[in-house]
Amino acid sequence: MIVKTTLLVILSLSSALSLRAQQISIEGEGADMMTYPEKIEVADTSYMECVYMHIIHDPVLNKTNTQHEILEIGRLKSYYADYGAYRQDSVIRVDYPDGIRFNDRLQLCYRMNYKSGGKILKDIANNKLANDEQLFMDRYRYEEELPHFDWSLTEDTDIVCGYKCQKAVATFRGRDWNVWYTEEIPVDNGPWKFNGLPGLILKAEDSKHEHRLEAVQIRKSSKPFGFTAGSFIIPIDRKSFNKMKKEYKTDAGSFVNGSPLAPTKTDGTPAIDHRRRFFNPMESD
Amino acid sequence: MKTISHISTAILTVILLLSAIRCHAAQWQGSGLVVDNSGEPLAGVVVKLIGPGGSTLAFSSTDGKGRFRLSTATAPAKGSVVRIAYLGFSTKEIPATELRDDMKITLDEAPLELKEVVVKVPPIKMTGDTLTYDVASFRGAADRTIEDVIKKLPGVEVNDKGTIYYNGEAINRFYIEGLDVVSGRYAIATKNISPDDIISVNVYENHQPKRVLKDIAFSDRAAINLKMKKKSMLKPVGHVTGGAGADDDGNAKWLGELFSMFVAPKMQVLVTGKGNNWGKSYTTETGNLISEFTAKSSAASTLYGDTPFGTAKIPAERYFDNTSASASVNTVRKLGEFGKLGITADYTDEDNRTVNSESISYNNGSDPDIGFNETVRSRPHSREAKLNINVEHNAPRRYISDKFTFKGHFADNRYSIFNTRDISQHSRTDDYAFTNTLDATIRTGNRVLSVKSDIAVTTTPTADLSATDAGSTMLRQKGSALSFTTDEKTGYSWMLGEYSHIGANLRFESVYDRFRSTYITETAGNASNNVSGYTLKTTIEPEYQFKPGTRFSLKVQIPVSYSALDYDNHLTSASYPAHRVDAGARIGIHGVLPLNIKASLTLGRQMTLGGIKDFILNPVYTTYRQRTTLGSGLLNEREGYSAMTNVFYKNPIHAVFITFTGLYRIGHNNRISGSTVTPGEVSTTVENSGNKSDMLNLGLNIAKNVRAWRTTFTLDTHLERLKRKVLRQKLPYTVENTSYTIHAAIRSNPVANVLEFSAEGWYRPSVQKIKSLGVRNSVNDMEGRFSASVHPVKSVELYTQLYWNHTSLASDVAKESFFIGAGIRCHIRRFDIELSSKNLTNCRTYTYSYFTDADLYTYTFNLRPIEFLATLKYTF
Repeated sequence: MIVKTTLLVILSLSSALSLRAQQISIEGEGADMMTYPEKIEVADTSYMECVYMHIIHDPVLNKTNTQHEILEIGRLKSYYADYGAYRQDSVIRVDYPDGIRFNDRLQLCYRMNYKSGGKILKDIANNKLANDEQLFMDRYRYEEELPHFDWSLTEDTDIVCGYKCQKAVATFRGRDWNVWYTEEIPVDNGPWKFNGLPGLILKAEDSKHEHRLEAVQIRKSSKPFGFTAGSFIIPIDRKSFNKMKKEYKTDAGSFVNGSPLAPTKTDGTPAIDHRRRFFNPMESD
Repeated sequence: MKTISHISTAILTVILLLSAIRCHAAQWQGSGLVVDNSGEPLAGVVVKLIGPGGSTLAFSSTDGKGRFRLSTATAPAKGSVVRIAYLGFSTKEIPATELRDDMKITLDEAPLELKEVVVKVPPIKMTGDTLTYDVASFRGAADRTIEDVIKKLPGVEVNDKGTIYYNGEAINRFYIEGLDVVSGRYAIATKNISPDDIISVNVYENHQPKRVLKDIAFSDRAAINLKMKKKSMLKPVGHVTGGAGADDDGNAKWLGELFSMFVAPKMQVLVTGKGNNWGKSYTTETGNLISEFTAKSSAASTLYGDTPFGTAKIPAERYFDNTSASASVNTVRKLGEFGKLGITADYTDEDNRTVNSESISYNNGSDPDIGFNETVRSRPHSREAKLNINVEHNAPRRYISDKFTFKGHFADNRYSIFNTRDISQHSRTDDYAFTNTLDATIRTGNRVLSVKSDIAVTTTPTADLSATDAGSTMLRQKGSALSFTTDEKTGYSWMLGEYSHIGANLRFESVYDRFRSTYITETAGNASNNVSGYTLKTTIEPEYQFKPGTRFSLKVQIPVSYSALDYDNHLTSASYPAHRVDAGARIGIHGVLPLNIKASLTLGRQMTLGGIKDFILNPVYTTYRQRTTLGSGLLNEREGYSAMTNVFYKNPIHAVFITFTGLYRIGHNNRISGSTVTPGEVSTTVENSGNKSDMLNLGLNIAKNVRAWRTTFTLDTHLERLKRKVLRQKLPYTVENTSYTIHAAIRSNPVANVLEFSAEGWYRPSVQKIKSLGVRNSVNDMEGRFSASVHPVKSVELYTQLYWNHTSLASDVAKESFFIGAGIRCHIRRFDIELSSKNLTNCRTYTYSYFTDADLYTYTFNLRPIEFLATLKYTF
């Protein structure tokens, strides 16, 4: 667990992880430490997967990032997380069954475009949703009722990933969403927290064009999924977590200030600056 | 009263009861339980109430116990059904009227069917400052090179030379897989690499090539990176082509080309070897396209042009009978994590022949016009060899680079001129340029120290011109020049707090120049020049930068310079010492406006001093009838004030790119150039007199890609106004030129890989005014280019290219030209068999006219005839 935590901290904070960085590594004995595939708390087994491209615009930094996320759908639950992490886990399981050096894993994370975002487990059977996410060195989890979207169906249609889709609109936690769902895949699910339509949601865009999700691949699967197993997870409520995440992303330096785990430079000064990180939350209530 | 009250209460009660009954009758609810064959409840099953017309009246999904509930405001019409669907189970429909509360519905398992895996890559993807264009989304089956694809990318422009522009600015680096293998000569890559080998084109906005200056020094230029397909790496890829043909005059045509590239993570090699007489010039492939790599020149390097008797507006391949050959080797190897060694070498030989006539009418104010009419048979022959060795260490904290370049340019040009006489002219220039640039930048914490040393030696031992008239010598001129320049720069800067950056640059430049010439003429006597001297310039440039985040930056630079010059005329023993102190200014503001519009404003004042040419006081001949006196004995001083702006909007999601550029510049010059025309000669001189000029340049470029139509639209408009003084027959005139350009282009692949076309049109009206002479000349130029490609079957391509030009002058002189080319290409596995043709209308002459100042130039070129070439290309 500590390995994964360290990986996530390096990936989320390292300035060396520039866009065109060819190399990312750490120095010291930890570089050669063997790491292994993470154990998971199996929640369900997927029968299909959908990969989404997620374009996020941060109007404050005036930057746009593109990342890929995957929805793994089982009969009772579904799991939504970063696709880089999924790919990385798959490569390690297949190619490095006996473990992988820490630095090689770091390189793999970089190549797979690993993002340390939140993971969402929808429990359809019990109408629950859990969000698991790491901020700095700690892992937080909140639970809520499966959100209710007050959808209005429209006559607009579009083709997404080869499927005929219909448009629906709803306002949810501070954003006006336009989504396209397909009745050709009769599954009540979608990316992120979306649900409640008579078909899988393949595309979603908010009215400010700050978030745009679109399916790029849909496939059958049979794979157990669930949160990474961990012994120390801090329970929290949704609003408190969102507030804390905002503080962390807008000024990580202040957020970690005082933490005994906060990294320092050789001269003892804090290694994490006060610069604002790329950030634009999907819900802002 | 009490009775009335009771009656009212009773009526109200009845009304309320009736209403309730009515409401109950209108609302409809249904519920059920969905289970699988084994009786297990199914969660997340989609349940819809569908009206007789197919519209969705209500929908729901089952909970963890398999239960669902549907409700509508009104009872469903007859024929409505409840559809129960779940992926992996067969869909079931039951009439809505049959749905009873808590009805158990069993779904049968069915094969889970999903459509064939669809992988979609976005055409344009943006990650931070990187735009990634997916090549497959933009390429068409007719695209032969990656340049053909780059031309279609919205926001990116490519000119005829191959220079790539993004956001209206030429790119500052070109990479393949992150490595610069071609050292600024990137047309050698873009005009040869097949789109089959490239998966995406990256544009790195605001690219700072030195990692050490990342986040410190702002760059307004972008870089391009080609991302290779995995299958095309770690093995040689390329093509070899051979072809033969003939033209309408019975001449044989041939072409042979080899291009090969090997790309590995730590090493790249790119090799070309080419030759043809089919009209293709290779100088554009091996020419440098990045301004900071431009080679130095001596005072005699460009004394004689290759085409002093006129060029045409149409591409040279239409009127040059060429024999061209070229070879190049480009390698780059990574040294460790941050180092690289790059070596490039190339040789180009261009031997051209053309015939043209020229008619020039010089306006001399009150004097009668003087003109020249002659026919010229030209044979410009130039050879060029270049070598470039670059060692670089580009680490986040340290940048060290040494770049050595050699360029040898040898021009041997012969002309036969027929007017009232029979003249032969021969010019020869041998030019060698050696340059070494050492560049080091070190960053320690918030401090940056940089040192840069440029040393260049350019020698032109031969710059000769001779002319004979019917075999007897008219003119014999010998020239030579040497230039030795050093440019040493050092800078130190540090951060002041979190947002400010302060520093100073110290620059020391030295130039030693020598120029010698002597001519003997039959009728105009003799003259010689022997001038040498130096310029020493020291500049201190304090700078300040304020960058409070990513949305705004301000940079101020105040260069203060001291120049000491001394040039000696060794023939007259005259000496021309001069000392100048000057302060310039440059203020740059970059900001991000609402709607993510990037805007910049640069204000500046520059002073530019002349050099050796100002003290070359005797004339030199540039052609048998053109004499020029380069200097007046007074140091040329040009002062300029400029304001420049760039406003850029992009929306990669909707593929819209808009760029506005503006430049206004006022210049003060202490001399005027002018010409004196006599019936036998044109003599250009410079006179010591104040000359004020002002220039305005405005440009707007809009590009939009409509993905659904596979089409990119571009609209480009440009205004240029220039006002300056010239001398004609010793009299000063103010010349005002205003020109407009409207350029619209459509590049489309509307029927995927079956039909592709591009259509471009230019409308360029321009006006030249000389008020004191009462001259107002206007030229309207229109140009259209159209190319289309059809693939009746996947492996066969039929294509055509059309070119049309119409130029009209105020004097009602209108010229029109029209060319057609066509071909057929058949693709079989790795082979391409192609039959191409040019000039199908067999148009043999091309005439065009233009005004410069008040002079009218008319040129007529003999064109290459209709010609055909059959080629076989093997791609590996």
